[in-house]
Amino acid sequence: MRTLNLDMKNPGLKEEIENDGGYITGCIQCGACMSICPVAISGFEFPNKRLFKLIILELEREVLEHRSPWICISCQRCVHVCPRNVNPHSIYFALRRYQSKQFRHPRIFEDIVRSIYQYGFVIEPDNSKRRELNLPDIKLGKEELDEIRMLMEDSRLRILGII
Amino acid sequence: MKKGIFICHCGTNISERVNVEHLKSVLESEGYLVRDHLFLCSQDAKQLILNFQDEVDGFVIAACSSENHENYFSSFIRKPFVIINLREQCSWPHADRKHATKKAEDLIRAGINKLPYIKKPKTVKTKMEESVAVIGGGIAGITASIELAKLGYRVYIIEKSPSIGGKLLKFDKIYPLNDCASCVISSLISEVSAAENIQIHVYTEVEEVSGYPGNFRLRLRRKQTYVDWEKCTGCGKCIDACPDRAKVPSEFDDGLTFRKAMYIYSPFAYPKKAVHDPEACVNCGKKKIGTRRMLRSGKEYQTPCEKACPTGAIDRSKNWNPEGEIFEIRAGSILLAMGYEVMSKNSFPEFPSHLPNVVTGIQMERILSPTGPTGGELLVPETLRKPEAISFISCVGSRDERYHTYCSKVCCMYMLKQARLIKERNPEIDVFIHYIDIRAPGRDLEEYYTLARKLGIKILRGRVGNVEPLNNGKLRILGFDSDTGDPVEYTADMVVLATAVELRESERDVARKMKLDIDSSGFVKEKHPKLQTFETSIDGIYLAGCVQGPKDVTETVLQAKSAALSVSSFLGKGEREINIETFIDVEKCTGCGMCIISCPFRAITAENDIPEINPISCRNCGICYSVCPVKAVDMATHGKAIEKELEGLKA
Repeated sequence: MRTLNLDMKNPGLKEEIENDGGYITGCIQCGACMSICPVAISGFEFPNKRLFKLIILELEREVLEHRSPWICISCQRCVHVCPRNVNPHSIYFALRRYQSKQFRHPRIFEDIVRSIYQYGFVIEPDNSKRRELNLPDIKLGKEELDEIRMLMEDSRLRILGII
Repeated sequence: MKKGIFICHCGTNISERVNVEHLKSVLESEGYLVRDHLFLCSQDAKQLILNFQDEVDGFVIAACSSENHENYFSSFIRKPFVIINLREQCSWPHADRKHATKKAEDLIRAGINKLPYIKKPKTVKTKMEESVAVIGGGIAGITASIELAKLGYRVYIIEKSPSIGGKLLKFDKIYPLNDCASCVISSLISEVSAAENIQIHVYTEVEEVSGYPGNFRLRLRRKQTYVDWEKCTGCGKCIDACPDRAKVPSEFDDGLTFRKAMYIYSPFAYPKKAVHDPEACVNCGKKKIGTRRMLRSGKEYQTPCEKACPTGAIDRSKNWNPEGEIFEIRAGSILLAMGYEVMSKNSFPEFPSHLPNVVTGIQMERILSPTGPTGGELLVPETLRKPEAISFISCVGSRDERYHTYCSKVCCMYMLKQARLIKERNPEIDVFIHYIDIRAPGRDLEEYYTLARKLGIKILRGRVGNVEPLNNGKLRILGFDSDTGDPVEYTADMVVLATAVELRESERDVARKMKLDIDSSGFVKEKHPKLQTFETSIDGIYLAGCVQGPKDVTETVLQAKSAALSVSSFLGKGEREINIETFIDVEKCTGCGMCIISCPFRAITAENDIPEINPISCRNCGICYSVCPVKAVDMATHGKAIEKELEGLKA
C-alpha cells in the first residue's frame, strides 16, 4: 500500500482509454466484474475494480505499472454482468494498447510477438511430438507467413522496435 | 360479574414469547370467558367480540399498545374495557418464554382488577378559530400557507428574518433538474403576497404560546427596525448613505460578504423594505440612537440615513425598545415550518476551518449563485482567483457519534449538484467528492449521480482525515480511497464541508414553548414515525419541513401540503370534542389549593374555595390527582382504576 498522489494525474489517460475502450466513468465500483472473472476466481491477482478507479482518477503511473490487463482471457463474462453498461473487456484491451504504446507491456509479450513474426505461431512449432502422435506437420506456407509479417510491419510494432 | 378476556396473538409478535394456550386454560378454569385470535384487530375478530357483547359485563383486551388500537376497539365495544399491552410491554422486551407468560398472566390479572373501576369520561365541545399560524416563511411555510389560504383559512406567516423565502433563495440551482431555485420560490412568494387571507409578519418572533387545540394564542414580538415600513419603498438610498465602517457579516451570504447597519435582507426580499440594525450601527453623524439633536437654526439634525431617505421613513430618534412591538394573534392551529441551519464549520479539529478557503455547503451555494459575492463566478474566497481543484467532504458532523448520529440526507445530492455546476461551467477544474456512502434514493436522483460520474467528477469512497494548509495558500487533503484500498493525497484550492443539517436552539425553544417533544437528534418529534409523520403530540400543532428532520425540497413540499390537509381536516368541523377524565368531588374537598398550584396548565381555578377544572385547558396529566391530600380528585381511567390495577399486579 502506498499513498496515491492525485496531483500526479494525466487527463489524457482517461480520454484515450475512453475513446478506445468505451465509457469507463460509468463504473460505480460494484465489483461484479471481479466476482465472476475466471482469472480472479482462480487466484490470480486481478483487481480490475482498483484498475478502473485508477483510470478514473487519471493516475497514469499506477495504470502503466498494472499488469492485470495482460491476464485477461477474453471470456467476456464481465461484459454480461456489468450493471452500468461498461465494457470491462474492451477497456482491458484499450489498456494493453495504451501500455504497449508507452512501452510498458510485460517483456514476455515481446517474445510472443517476435515468435509470431518469425513462425506465424505464438511458439516455435515442434513437429517431432506431432509425428509421434501421427499428426500432420504444422507449417505455414511462405505466402501466408509473408502476409502476417506484412500486417505486423504495417502496425505500430515496427515503430516500437519490437519486430 | 362475568368478564371476557380476549388475547391477541398479533401474528407471532405475542404468541412467540407468550404461551397463549396456557393462559387460556388457567383463566378459563377460574370462570372467565377467554378467547384468542391471530389478529384481534381483524374484521372477524370484531365479530367474535360483538358476539359476547351481551354476555359479559366488561372486556380485557390483551393485545398491543392502547395508542395503536384503543380508538378502534372503542368504536364498537359498548361495555367498559381495558387494553393490556402484551406486545410492547411483555413479549417484545422479554426473551424467556416462561417468564413472559408469567408476566402476561400478571398483567391480565391487573386488568381484571382494574375493570370495575373504569368510568366513562365526560365530553365537552368547543368552537375553533378558523385561522392558522404558520411559523417560518420558507418553502414549507409558504406552500402550506398557499394551500390553507385556498381552503379558505386565515393564515398568519410568522418569519423571524426581515424577508420570507427562506434558504431556497440562497441557492442557485436545485436538483434533480438543475432549475433555478429562486424562480421556483418567487412565483410562490408572489402568490402568497397576493392572497387576501394571508398576513405576513416578518422580523417577528414567537414569544409565548398559550391556549389549547383549536384556540391557540400566540404572543409575537415584532423587532424594532427604525424604518417605517408603510413609507419605505425599498429604494436603497439609505444603504448608500450608511458608512462602510458599519459592517457586519451578511446573513444572506452566510458570512462571505458584509452588510451595513442599514440593509435590505436580500435581492429577492419580500417585503422589500430596509432594516436598521442598531447593533451594527456606528452612530455616524454623532447622533446616538434614541436621541435628538437640534441645529442652531432650530431645525432638527438628521443622520446620513435619515437625510438620504426620500420618503422620510427612517427615524433614529426613536428609543431602542428591546421588546419591540408585542402583539397577539389567535389561531385554531399552528404549523411549525422553522427550517434548519447547517452546523458551523468551526466544530471540527481535523479541518482548518479558520481558513477562508474552507467553506460550508451553504457558503458554496452562495459562491455559485449569480446573486452571491462573486456574481456567480467560481473564485477562491481568499485570493479571488479561479481554483484548479476543489474538494468536497461529506458527512461532516453527521453519521458521527461525536456530533450527530443521523444522516443529513441532502448533503450527497447538494454536493453532487454543486460539483456538477462547477464541472459544467469549468470542465478544467478538478472536482473531488469524498463520501462515506452516496445516498441518492429519490426520483431521478440516481440518474443525476450517474451523470455526475460521467462528467468526470472524481468520487472517492472514504472520509478525509486531515486538511493541511500549505505555504502557498493551498490545502493538502489527506484521505483514503477504499476502491483502490490506498490512502490518497492531493492539493486543492478550496474545501467544501458538507456540515450536518440541524435545528437551531432558538427554534427548539419555540417548540418547547408549545410543550412539544424534541427527539434525540434535536429535531421536533412527530407523533408516530410511520403513520403520523407531521402531527405532533399536541393536537392542532403540525410540522412541515426540516423542523422534523433533514429533508430536500421535494419532501418538504410534500410534507407541507400534507400538513395543510391535516390542518384543514382538524379545523374543518369548526368544533372539537374534548374528553375530560378528571373531576373533583366537591364534598370531599377541603379547599387546600394544592391542585391549583400544582397544575402545569393552570386549568384549575377556585371560587369561594370550590375548585373547578376548566375542561379546555385540562390535559388529563393527573398531577392534581396525585397531590390531592384527601383524594377528592379522581380520573375516569387513570386515577383509582390505576391504583386498583397495581393492586391486581401485586396480588
